[in-house]
Amino acid sequence: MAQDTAHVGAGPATKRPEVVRAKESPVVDPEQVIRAITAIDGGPRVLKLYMEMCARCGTCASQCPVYYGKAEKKYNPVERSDLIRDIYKKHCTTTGKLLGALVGARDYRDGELEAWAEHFYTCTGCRRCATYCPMGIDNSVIARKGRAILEAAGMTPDTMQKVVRISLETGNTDGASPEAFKAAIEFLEEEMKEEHGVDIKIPVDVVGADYFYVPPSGDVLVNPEATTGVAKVFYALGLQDRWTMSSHYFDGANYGLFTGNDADMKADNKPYVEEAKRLGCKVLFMGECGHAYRIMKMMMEPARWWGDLPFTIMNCMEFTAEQIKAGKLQFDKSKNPQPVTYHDPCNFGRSCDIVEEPRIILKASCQDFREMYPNRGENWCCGGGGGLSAMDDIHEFRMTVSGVKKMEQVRATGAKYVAAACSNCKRQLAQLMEYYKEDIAVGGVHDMLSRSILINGKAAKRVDYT
Amino acid sequence: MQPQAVVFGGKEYTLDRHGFLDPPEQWDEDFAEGMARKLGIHGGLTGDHWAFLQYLRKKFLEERTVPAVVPACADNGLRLSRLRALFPTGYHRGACKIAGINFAFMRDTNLWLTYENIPSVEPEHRVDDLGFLQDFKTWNERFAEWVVRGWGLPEGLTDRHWAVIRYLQTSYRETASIPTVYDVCRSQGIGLEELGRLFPEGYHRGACRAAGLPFMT
Repeated sequence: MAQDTAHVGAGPATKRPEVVRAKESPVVDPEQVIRAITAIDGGPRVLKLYMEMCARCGTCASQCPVYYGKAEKKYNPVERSDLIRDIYKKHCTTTGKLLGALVGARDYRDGELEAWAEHFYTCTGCRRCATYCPMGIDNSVIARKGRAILEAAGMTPDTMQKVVRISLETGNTDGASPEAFKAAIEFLEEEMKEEHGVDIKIPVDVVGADYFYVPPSGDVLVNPEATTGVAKVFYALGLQDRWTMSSHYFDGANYGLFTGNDADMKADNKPYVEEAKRLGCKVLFMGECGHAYRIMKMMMEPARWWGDLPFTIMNCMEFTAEQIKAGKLQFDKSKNPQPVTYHDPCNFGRSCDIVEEPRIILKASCQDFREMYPNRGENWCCGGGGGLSAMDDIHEFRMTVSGVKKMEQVRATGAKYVAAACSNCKRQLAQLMEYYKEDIAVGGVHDMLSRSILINGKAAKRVDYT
Repeated sequence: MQPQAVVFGGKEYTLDRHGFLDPPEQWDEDFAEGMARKLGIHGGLTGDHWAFLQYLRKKFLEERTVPAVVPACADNGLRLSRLRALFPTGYHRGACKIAGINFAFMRDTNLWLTYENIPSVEPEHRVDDLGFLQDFKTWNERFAEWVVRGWGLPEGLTDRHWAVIRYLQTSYRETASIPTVYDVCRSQGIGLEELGRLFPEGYHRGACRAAGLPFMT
């Protein structure tokens, strides 16, 4: 086997593009910033209303994971949104034009953008404030507008720029070649063969398959159990010839959402839709990635970015939960005896209403499932949302400010495994456990399924090498 | 988390805030052995460990890259469970850490490498409601390490701890009963106070539990 897959490691490194860093001190044209803000007036009505409706009641601050972690003025969502709102008032509202500072209006101050780069990247975009705001103001939308202004000025943080760039150039944020991907898939098939003694296939590039599976970043190369879980579901249902993955597009991550760059977001999205069409699939089958699913299901499809679609969009957890409800999958729960809790990723819980499905899967595959409170649409963010999870220069902030509430919630459950259907949440959660020296494992939902699902009446049996 | 330092074999090594060797030039075999013990490899590094570590060092030093866990296992013909058995804390937090690859290099090579979660293993040991091992035969050093986590032992489990644990196990195996605390003190030539210092959680809930003995009813 070693010879068969000897070329695996060689793939990614050579293809990695050079990262173009932002200029040391970008020249920012104040007019450009003001133009971007006044454009809100003629843009989507909802953002315009966000500019005009805030009652400054402070409800958002009381519901914000960042402000909970540290009650500083700069972490208050209102204050952050006011960076844009105040300038908008100055230029676009009658009271602002006439009364100025009396109604909080002010003009853009030269050099202010430097500070914005910090402020708008301390919002996790979790939208918890929007759930509670009596006016329904979604501060994450305003923060994204702020990030878009930073992006236009070339001031997006390096990590974000790099992820977007690699993704646009290779189709995948990890920059792995199709050969490396195929070899990794082969390896996972061997893993499953060892676990179950039967050939469970992960079809690749099969034209005419019904389901085209798009996992989140890393779920093949780094956290492979989610992928083997999905493969086992298809096998157990007798559908193992009806699904496929793509060796070119296997990573749903789309950081254009986080940098506020709509053009990048669409450019990153398009190849996946094209590939789904090329493969002729009936269902674009999204993996455990909140923002990837949200972009596909809540943005691309309803806004008709690419016109009519010859396929529907579904999340793998919806599919698996349906099959469990129909009694088509069986489990040996004793394989997962430890207490398990589920962290609702904001993009699934609040933005896509995928809340019961992961619970159905975890309750079916684990002995001791525990809720954390609050949960579902009211869950607290892990502290790494909005792409922050990938930024290690703010590691300390993520651990001691934005992630504090989540850590308290997890501890209160007494769980030894936190499942999250999101790579960004998983990275943040794993770092939290390390930081606070908690002996709690972190992983996905289908990971737990993979360990307990019965294939031909038997759950996975791993060779014990210890 | 601030940058830290560790001392192995009398030498000091500086680590970054994630606990990875930094700068990487400090790496030597003493570091690898010391870090391995810290990361739950109690028997020291074996030939299998070294083969994998050398593969990683070669990739790191000559090819200036770090493969992701799946390609790395595929290259070396290792099953994931074998890797987990070799490196209980996982690939990036285990093998790469021992191989002296620094966190920043790994992250800059491929962000997703650092997305690997704490290794997902079936819980290795079944315990009862009180945290006592259900089946004595399944005991290994990792269980003892797991039990003493959170006790705040300054140097973790020392030779003196292991001597007590081994005595308890031998005695339990031979007599099928749990020795009294006085038997233990006599055999080790220590007093109750000393034993209390070694096992701050007490004799039964501390020492016997770490040794994998069942709860005495």
